[in-house]
Amino acid sequence: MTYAVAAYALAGVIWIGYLLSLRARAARLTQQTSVTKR
Amino acid sequence: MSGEGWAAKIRAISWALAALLVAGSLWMAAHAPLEVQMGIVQKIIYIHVPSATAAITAFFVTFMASIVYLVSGRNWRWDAIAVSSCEVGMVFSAIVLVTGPLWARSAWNTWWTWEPRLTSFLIMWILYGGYFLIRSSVGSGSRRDVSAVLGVILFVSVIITYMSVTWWRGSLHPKSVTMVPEMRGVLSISIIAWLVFYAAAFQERFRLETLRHAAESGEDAR
Repeated sequence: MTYAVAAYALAGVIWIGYLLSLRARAARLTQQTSVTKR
Repeated sequence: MSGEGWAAKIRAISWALAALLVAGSLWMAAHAPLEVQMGIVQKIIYIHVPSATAAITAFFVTFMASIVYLVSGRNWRWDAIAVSSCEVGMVFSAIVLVTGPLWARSAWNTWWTWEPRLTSFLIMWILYGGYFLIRSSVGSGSRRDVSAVLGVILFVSVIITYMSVTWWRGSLHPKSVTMVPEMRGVLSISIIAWLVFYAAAFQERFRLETLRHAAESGEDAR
């Protein structure tokens, strides 16, 4: 039981971490692009 | 509606569909019949196998996009598709490598063993990690060309990983699995759900690449 829960929990943590990193990188690039265009 | 407007709409629909399918597949996995010998640990298969399928699909997309980039006038968009798919494939592969040992501990009484499928998969993951390492270390002038060549060459490691259970003896991974229809149904739906999730994550990563292109070139990436 513990292993199965751990597998799904770890997969969830990896995806949340990755999607948050994508969001942060997109926000940084959007800011960079708006500064370049000014 | 502008190109970016349409892209945002398609992204939102993809995420909604992916969330619905993944939630449905998790619910189905929770209610799938219990395997007699392994019990509840067997349910790891419903995330392990779909993640491996999505990883292989992602690397195949990288392979195809790299070829198209090299033969069709080096359009930056094909490079963006290749690198975006590769990164999402790396995440799926990481999940395979994390969930695999949890299965192995219960099924084989060990966290890790150097059997053909595990070893070749780990090597494949490290090699694709090298793709990003090399991509970030070469100059911007040749970055896309080098990445495309790597995207083609590295796919050999995917083929080796896929065929490892056939080519080498002593694999603990079976060539084929016999399952009751209910389990097979849940596994098939889980594979479809995570492939849709791959498509949504890929679009999100591709958007990042278009933003990067706009920031670097100063032109509108659309």
